[in-house]
Amino acid sequence: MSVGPRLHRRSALALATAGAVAVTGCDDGSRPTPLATPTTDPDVALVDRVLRQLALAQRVAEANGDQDLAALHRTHIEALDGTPATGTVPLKSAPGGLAGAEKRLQKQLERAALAAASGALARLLASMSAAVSQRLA
Amino acid sequence: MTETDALQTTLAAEHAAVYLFGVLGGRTSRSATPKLFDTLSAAYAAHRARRDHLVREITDLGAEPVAAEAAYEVPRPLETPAQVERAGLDLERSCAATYAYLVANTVDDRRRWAIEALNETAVRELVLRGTPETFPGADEYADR
Repeated sequence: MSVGPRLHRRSALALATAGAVAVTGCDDGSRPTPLATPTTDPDVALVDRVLRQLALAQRVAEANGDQDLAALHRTHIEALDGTPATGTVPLKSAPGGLAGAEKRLQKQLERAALAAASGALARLLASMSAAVSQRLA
Repeated sequence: MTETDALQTTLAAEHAAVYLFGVLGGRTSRSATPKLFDTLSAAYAAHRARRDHLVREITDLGAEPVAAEAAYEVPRPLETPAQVERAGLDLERSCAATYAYLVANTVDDRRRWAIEALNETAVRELVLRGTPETFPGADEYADR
């Protein structure tokens, strides 16, 4: 079942800037009058936050030797057009350990899916939360 | 696409799921394969509850809930427990895709409900011998 185009973070960023350049014709023949003030796509900040949460989870998984989980998070980061953490220091500990970190991430992804302005982004984030739920089961 | 349209599409899928899980349960021996029987019974109850919830939601929106078909095409063959289990897994995966679609086409409480349904369905796939996926309900991302 097709439910719309894949989301690309660069596309979201492009959408965020597109609204900033709309202008009307000149009212007095000299200067254009802005139709609207620049706006920011709220999903850009949301995706940035999710990418940080995924990168943190990736580092915790790597520190705990769970390469499958780390790979999952890397794939999810790439799906959001982010760059997986490489060469960073693995986190030696996290509150609640690996399971605690994964439970927090699952809830964070659920909340992000709920908050997303874009339906396509909401679908992707909800799918990621379901993937983490499967690993927690 | 309105929320009502998306809910109607999901309800149509739930009608099919309720019917087919009923069929799968009927093909399963409670004594010979009790675990599979319990899994299918739980799936049937969960999908029936979701169907009823969707009927209420659509009614609350002032629309007429889409009716169930008289019958649905049953996957074949269903001669062994493994075949029944595989059919149940395929059905849950199909439902996961439907819930992901509902997530994309709803907001607020209805989206929250769809997210929860997607998560629960994805986990039930594992009970039916499914393997963890990278993008449950959104397989196309796994092909990138």
